[in-house]
Amino acid sequence: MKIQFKLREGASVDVPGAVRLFPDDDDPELASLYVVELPDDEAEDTLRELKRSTAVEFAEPQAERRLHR
Amino acid sequence: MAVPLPTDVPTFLAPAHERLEYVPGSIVVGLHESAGEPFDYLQREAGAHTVESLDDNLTVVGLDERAVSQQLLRTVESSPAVAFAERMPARWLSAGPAADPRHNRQWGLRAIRWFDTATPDVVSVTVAICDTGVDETHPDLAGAIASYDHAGASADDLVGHGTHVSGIAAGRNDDAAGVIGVAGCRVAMWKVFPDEPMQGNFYVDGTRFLRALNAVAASGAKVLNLSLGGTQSSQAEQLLFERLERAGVTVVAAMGNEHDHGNPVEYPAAYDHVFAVGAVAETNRRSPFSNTGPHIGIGAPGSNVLSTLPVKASPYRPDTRYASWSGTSMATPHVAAAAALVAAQHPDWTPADTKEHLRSRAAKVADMGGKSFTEEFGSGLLDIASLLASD
Repeated sequence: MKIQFKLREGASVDVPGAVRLFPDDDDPELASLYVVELPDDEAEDTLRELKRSTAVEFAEPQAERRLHR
Repeated sequence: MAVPLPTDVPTFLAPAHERLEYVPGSIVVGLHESAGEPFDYLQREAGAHTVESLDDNLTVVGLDERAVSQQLLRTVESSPAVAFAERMPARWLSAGPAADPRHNRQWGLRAIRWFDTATPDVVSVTVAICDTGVDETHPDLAGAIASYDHAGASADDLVGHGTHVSGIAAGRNDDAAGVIGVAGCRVAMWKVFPDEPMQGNFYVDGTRFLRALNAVAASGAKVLNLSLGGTQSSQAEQLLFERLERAGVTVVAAMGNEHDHGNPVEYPAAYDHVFAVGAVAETNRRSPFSNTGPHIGIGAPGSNVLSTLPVKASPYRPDTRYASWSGTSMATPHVAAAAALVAAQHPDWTPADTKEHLRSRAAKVADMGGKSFTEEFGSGLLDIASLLASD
């Protein structure tokens, strides 16, 4: 499962494997967005912790999108 | 590479060697003076069933084609009252067939009154599409693809969905090949689907999708077409759609095809800054699969929509070149292309202006029951002639 999260300004968290969603973008809003791919059994705990963290503005599983044909 | 394409016979004009010289069962009689005698003869001897005076001296007579002969015409001309009698000559349009030979099968263009108006030059307007890719070699998309980002995946459109969507929006007009696109705009394609399905279905690569949304905002595209969706909302996506709106990009997304499976609210169609499109069938009724809801903007043709497919078959798509597909996916690029036409006509308009214009110029359909908005059709059916008409 992939989890994406946004850090509050100036905050940080330690999530092994997390990378910036927009690594080449200096825009502060975009620079605060991260994504991490985790095995399903670990992902739910990590998501819960991120949602509890005061450093995190939001955390969510990556939304499923499919074709509308 | 040019690919030879089969062509359909246009319905309004047969090939030259098959055209008629005369209108069957019709003769024209010129008179020196008002007289009934020649027509009495035609009715009595040749079974004429209609006699229509065009003026005091010219009359058209309808009769069985088998009764028409040179002998008959000479007999009528022998009357002192008759100046001449001749077969009605056939006349056909000088314009010749429309260059795009399949346009007669594009019912949707008639439904949105595309043929009823001249469309502005939109070659300077780019419509971004996040989809399964595009076949840039398709003859009907020649020159239409401004850019194609398929980083992390092959350049092939294995599903064909993105090529179909591209043809609806930007199929080359009057090029003697295939279909007509709603706008002669250019397409910037971001392939956001992987080459392999997951458990039998193709799902967006979420990270690639978010990066594509950010790239579209910086690309200069005026419109973004999203013929995709899902039931979960995402704050990261919402953040990017707000940025797209601020960047001047009108985002158009499909309502979804699950009406008979719970009619769920789907995203990105239901986000604030996104213009949601439902599907309409040939009857001007809602396509049965098309989701409904208060967030719908307008409807557009989404049943049996003929458009382009990649020229090569793939394991996931036996059809090639052209096919009619259904879905709110097919309705959406009609509206995205319409937004491109509006952008060409009003380059200073904001996405909010464009979306309001699409709503206010939509045609009310019978099933709306006289209401200005319904959850099935939104503000009505896309109406290109009205959209482009000056006030």
